[in-house]
Amino acid sequence: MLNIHETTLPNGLRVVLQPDTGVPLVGASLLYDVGSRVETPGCSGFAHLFEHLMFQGSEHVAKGEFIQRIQGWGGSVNGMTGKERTTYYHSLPSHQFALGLWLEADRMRSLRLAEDSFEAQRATVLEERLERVDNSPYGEANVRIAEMSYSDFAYAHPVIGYRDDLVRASLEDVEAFHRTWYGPNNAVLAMAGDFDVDAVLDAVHEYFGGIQRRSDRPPLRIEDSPRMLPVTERMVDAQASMPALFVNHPVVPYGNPDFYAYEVIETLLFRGPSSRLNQRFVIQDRSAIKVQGGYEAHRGPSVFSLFAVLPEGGEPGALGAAYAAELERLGREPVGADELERVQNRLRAGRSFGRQSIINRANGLGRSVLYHSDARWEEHYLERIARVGPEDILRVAARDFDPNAAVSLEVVPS
Amino acid sequence: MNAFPSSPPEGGAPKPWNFPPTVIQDLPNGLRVAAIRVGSLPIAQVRWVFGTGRNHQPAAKVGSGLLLQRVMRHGTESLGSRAFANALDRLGARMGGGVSIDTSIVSVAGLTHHIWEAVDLASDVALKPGLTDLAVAGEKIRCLQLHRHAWSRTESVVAMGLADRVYGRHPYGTPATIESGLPTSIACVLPFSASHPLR
Repeated sequence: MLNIHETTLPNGLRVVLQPDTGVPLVGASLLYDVGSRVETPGCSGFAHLFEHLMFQGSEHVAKGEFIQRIQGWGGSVNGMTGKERTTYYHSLPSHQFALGLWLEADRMRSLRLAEDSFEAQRATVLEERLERVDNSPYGEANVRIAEMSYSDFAYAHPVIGYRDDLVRASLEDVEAFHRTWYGPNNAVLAMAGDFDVDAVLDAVHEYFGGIQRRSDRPPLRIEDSPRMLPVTERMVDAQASMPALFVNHPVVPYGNPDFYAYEVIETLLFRGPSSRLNQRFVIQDRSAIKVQGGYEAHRGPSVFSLFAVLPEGGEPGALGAAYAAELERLGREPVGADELERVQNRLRAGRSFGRQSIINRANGLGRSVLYHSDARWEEHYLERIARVGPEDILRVAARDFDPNAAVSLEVVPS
Repeated sequence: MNAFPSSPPEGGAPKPWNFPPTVIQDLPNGLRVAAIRVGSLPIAQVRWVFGTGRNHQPAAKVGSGLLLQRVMRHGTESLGSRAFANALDRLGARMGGGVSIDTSIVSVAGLTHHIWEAVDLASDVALKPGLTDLAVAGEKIRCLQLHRHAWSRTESVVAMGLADRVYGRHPYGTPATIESGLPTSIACVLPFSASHPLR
């Protein structure tokens, strides 16, 4: 049983700690419950833009100093924004654990939002969008398949945002975004590594305890009706040199008991050299040169996705039919004991590989609290995976992989 | 509640940490074996490192080392492609590898309770890869397609262009291209595999 300590400060900040004296390092992760799903039409990309602004200085920390101080001690630091949350994480030698907490607390309480930094970061994000979307093969297609798959704007729009929304954004909009979403009562602080729990809690109370609680977060009204009509679109991509295929099926969200069956199905189809789609499409038929995808679980509408790059001259429609046949087989033929053992072992090993990183441990701990309200969720993950049997896979696949509920996007080079 | 401190905490003294003991043994056939016990996670990695890299590829056959690495994923002399894939996944294992300037690496990492099977598998694939014409032909086509796909990405073009300007025709700066890949056959891959010191 992992040694996990939890507390909640009077201002609402949830704190979860997992000491481990293996190496003298600490990993810390501050998760704000704000992802692109909270954005409204006209304000897309704000959560990600804000991630950039969080490194532009605070009352006691000059612009760029956050990163310099962490890296000066040999640590690493970064942030990431997704549909569900924005995470700021770092690692440090364990004797400097308090430095990271002080830096995070200073920007939670006194972030400096100035016009020049805002303009510079907006320009940076627009460049990033050019690189990732406009000038990247399948970049526009990635945006389009999400728009086709979700009926609600919250999940349908890209995390990086639409160009027009980013251009229109003002400093006042961003300040309001900070006031609404960046309070201690909308955050989880997770730490893993070599530290004394009492010393960390003292520092947490000293640095974060005086930060004012904000108003409760506004309620999200996310429409959760899955799209049930089959839709296929074809797109010409001037950046791509190979055809490609995207297919999404609506599936269950986090918290559903079938979550674990989907984790198994993802590995069975996509992960590892013996996975069904790698063996059939890449090795045997050579109908794809690359196959990716799996379970994109959210707290709201969720999908099971396929993204395949085809060889020159390949026909996306034919690959789509073969994929549908593989999904149909999952709902008809029970998975054999050997194959299920391989899948379970891959998941077991994958979890351990992930835990090699002290930052991953902190991030996992934080996600467990934020998404599942259970700090021990990660710890019980493999037990729950081990309980998934062939009958669960048959039932879930037969129920959810309905060809009349899939959306497909075929991409052809210009 | 105390006021927020205006300057960062000093921090205590660094904690000592020593690299875990490494046991090294040289076998009579020249193989050097190093073993390191690390951490508390139930995983282990077996890694073969050969002193043969991109520097050892003739300019006209650039990409042979990379192609060999890809062909290795098709199995060994005793395990066909499908059986090899199943064996890797049964161990919960990941096969890795790469060709740098002067070394080639083949690694298998997986669950500790399958460690000896992982050692056998890594050794088998590193020393007795199943180099068949069919596997080479299939991977060659796939490599060329992936290469073509990579050229549509800005960062790939920049990296390759930079290497070309810095190193010119030296193997450091010569990526595998469609032109260099087309004449590649099993006859190119076999000498690269044979140049591994233990062959």
